[in-house]
Amino acid sequence: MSLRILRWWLACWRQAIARDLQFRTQTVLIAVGALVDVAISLVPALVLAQTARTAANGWDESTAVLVVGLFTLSTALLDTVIGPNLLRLDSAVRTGELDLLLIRPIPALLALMLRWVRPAEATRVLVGGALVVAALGAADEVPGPLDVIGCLAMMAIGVVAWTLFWVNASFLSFWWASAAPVQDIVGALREAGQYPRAAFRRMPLRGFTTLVPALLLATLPAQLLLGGAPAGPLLGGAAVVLAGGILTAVHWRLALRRYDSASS
Amino acid sequence: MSTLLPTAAALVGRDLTVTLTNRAWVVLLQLGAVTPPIVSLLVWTGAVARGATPPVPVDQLVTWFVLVAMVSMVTSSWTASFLAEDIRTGGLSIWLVRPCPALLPLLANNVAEKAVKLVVLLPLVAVLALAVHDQVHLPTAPGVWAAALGALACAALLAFVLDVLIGSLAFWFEDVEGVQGIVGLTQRLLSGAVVPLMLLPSEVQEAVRFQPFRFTLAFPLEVLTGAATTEAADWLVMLAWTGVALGLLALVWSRGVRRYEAAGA
Repeated sequence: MSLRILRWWLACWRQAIARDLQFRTQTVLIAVGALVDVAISLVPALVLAQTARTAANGWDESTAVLVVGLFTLSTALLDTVIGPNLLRLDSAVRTGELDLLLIRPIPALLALMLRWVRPAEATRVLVGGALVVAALGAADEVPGPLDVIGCLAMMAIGVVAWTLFWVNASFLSFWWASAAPVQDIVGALREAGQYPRAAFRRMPLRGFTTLVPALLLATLPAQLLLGGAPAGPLLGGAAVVLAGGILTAVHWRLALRRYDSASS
Repeated sequence: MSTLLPTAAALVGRDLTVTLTNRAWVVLLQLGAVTPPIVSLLVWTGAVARGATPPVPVDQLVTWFVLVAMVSMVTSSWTASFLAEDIRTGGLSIWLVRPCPALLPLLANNVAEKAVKLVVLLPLVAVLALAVHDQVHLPTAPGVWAAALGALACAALLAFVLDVLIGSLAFWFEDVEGVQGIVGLTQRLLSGAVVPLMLLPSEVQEAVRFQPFRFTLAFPLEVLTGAATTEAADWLVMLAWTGVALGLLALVWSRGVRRYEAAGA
């Protein structure tokens, strides 16, 4: 079963790359737009860091750039793989196009989240990586192997946690006739993840690490990369993923029961 | 000319009805409009509580974030892609043969949707203002409100005309999405939507002071929040940009319509 899913997903990637190569100008524009977007997202983080560099926790420009770099890596993955699918969900539910996924011989929820891929968005991985290296160089920090592993594990947890949150928000399309603007709300909430932990008071910090897990994408991974204790964030993140997974499974069953499909 | 006002009223009425049939969509859209400033508010107030020292008074910053969704909605325009599609597919033809300006339905749609959005957005902004009421300082002088309304009207007109200009590029290019995306990103940064311009270093502020995008969002907010950079020169430049944009639109539209080759033309 898992091999069949893997073959199916590789076929999705092949098709996406072929499509991108066919519409080259559009692909270049998407890639350029993604890069400009990264540059723009650096501005508020740097402005905030400039005014807060005298604050506690040793927060400075290099920390701000590190968080934006990690945020760029996490969101590049999300926008390459998950985003293209969830952005289509509203229209798929409304027009009954979802039927075509439900009848395929692979788990429908997986197909719903992974069917479409947008390789051009992955160009941000290069920029994100460069920002992380530059930030660590500017801060004169060389993270140890355990710090790097902790950071990567936290980012993986963050990406899964955010995917589950995003999926549940997108499932509102099953309950409302036109829930497309939910994507704007999700996108705006995700922006909170590009700031260092020192920018949040206790209540917003709790909210953005549990109910709306934006800070798991880059803020907490940055903390681990800079030598923070890994046990608490990793265990907490795993609990958020577990709760999100259960909620998503229940929500998916309820949503399917409500779905009318094109032919019914 | 005598039919212009009734036609405009009928078009606004039609778009009001259409917008009101999508009530959940409008509510979600406005929730999406207030979410970015709420996130910014949480981040900035958190940073200030930790000792950050922004270059402007904190109250002014909070007032900015409370009002930005409202001003952004009033000055927003979403016409370019619809106009470009009408030009590409020939949908513009039915408006070119009718006895009213072809841009009137676009303007009517803009006004009608904003009227409905305003009704939804006002309570949301009021709740946000209540939550931070200690730090929200609205102007008390009627003159400031009058000036802000003037700046707001001018900003809305300028943003609409710039948007129509981008859509009009479809007279010459098949696909204007790329241009629209790049202008959109530039506008987000230079209008103060990403970060208030008053927070930028002073030399950067001076460099972006007279560019047109500032007058589509930041300037009316600066008038409302009492920022220092609202001198006579700013007003003159805003009026000049609006005049230039209108002149350019007249030129581009007349040339574009002459070039227009719709299905059946």
